[in-house]
Amino acid sequence: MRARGLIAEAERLHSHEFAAALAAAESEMEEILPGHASEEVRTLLDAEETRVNEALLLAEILVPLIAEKINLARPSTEQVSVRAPAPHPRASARPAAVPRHRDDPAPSIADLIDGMLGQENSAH
Amino acid sequence: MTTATLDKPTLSAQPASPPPSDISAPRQPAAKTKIVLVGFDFGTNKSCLLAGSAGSTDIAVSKVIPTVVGYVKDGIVDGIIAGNARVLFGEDALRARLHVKMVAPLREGIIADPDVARDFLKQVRALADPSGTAEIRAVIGMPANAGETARDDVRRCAQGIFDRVLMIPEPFLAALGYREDSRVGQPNYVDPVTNSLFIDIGGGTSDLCLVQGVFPSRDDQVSIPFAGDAIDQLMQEELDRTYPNNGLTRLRVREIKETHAYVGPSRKPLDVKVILSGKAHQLELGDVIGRACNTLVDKIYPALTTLIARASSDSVVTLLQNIVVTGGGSQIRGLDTVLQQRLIADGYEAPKVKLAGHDFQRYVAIGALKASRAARENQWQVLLDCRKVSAGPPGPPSSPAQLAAG
Ligand SMILES: Nc1ncnc2c1ncn2[C@@H]1O[C@H](COP(=O)(O)OP(=O)(O)OP(=O)(O)O)[C@@H](O)[C@H]1O
Repeated sequence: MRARGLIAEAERLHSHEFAAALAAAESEMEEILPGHASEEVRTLLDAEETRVNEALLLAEILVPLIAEKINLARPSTEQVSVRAPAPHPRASARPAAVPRHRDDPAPSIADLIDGMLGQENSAH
Repeated sequence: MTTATLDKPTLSAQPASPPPSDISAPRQPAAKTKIVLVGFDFGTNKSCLLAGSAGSTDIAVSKVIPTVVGYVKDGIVDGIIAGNARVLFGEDALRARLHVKMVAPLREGIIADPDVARDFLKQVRALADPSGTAEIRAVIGMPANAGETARDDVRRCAQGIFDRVLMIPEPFLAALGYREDSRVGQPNYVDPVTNSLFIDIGGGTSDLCLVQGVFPSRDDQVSIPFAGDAIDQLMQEELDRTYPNNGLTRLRVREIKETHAYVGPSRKPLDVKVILSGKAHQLELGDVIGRACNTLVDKIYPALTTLIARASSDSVVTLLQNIVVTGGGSQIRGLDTVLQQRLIADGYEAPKVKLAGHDFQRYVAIGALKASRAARENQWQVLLDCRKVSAGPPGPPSSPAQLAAG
């Protein structure tokens, strides 16, 4: 949800539904392992958080390397040298959106709509 | 798709008096068994409606309708209006203009008169689903940068008429409609959804939109409240100054524009025949038309260069090859050439400005219909009609679609 820009919604889920589910899990475990429930659940969650963080780190390192490899593999005619357009006084360079290369597969319409809904949600 | 998610009660789908076999049965809301998908361009001057059944690729209804409603004046003798109708729409209203009070529901692309807009949408529904029993899911085009109030107005007007809606900015839908799906992936076809800049010149607004494979952000869209209607107004003001008491109505001025509009150097002399007080006159309108239309170029050019500057350096060359002008204003002669020449003069690399072509009135609706076919269940916004819901317990929505009750 955070990746889709639904940050507020993700926060809400985390602090309400997720917290409630966690409390329920802890109380169930308390019946099975009296005195150890909360510790067991915390260990599980910590392990999960470490796993996700490591995956993110790996992705951050690997993605630029892979992208570089792909660019090197492209035929040199694709490396068009671009004459920058005349600057416009009010224009600022496009910040976040990474334009897709024209060889990229076309995005699905439903994904584009998701992008729109994500923007609407984060605007609210 | 199934109708399992459609189980909200709808009084309108029930017969006024139940058939005999139903008398002992409890009153159950009639389930809608058919879904009709609608692509709808709700335009200030003209609206375009495309509709087809869910699950099929056929377009069962394709109509361009002038966005006007005509309320028949009191005292009109029987038989003057076909079927003695009280309310007429589109061409029918225009044909009966002497006998009706004509009202346009939209101004500058957004709803100006909600009751009239509702009447118009009811007619749209009747055209899309003559049986009146289907569930209607409509993708509706909105001007780029339409605010939340404008969107709420559309939702409110559509309640009880459409069952689910999705509102998407018009220039993005135009890009989707303009895309030749069969050519996507071919080596020398640049998919407009992947890299293009759309300029949609309508009646109320000119909308520009940078489309680069992700959904355009607010910064990628510019809506300028200057388009065809503003050109008409400028022409009429100048005509009134040059030819006082000319008696030309706004409608006639628009007709003159639609026949002779041009941008670029003066095309003087441009003699136009007009009938004033029953007599034919030739008016020289070369400069009047040229000045009004060239104002449009001055208004949209800065927005065009602002959006070009937002493209990254590795996408801008292809983008410059894919600038597309659509909407009624694209019919102004020379518009593509003049915009292209200005870009060249300002040093842009081999820009190419194209006109969308003969289907310019339909691209937004085509894009909307494509979007309606591709939308996931949870992307639709369910419109609950309070008047219907209050007549019985509402069925629980079985999809996580957003709910909007008025
Ligand atoms: N041949 C033509 N030459 C010049 N202008 C034209 C021509 N044909 C149509 N127009 C103008 O295009 C405008 C209508 O365009 P279009 O139908 O795309 O807009 P709309 O969808 O009704 O309005 P909007 O998009 O602003 O809601 C009107 O001002 C009309 O006069």
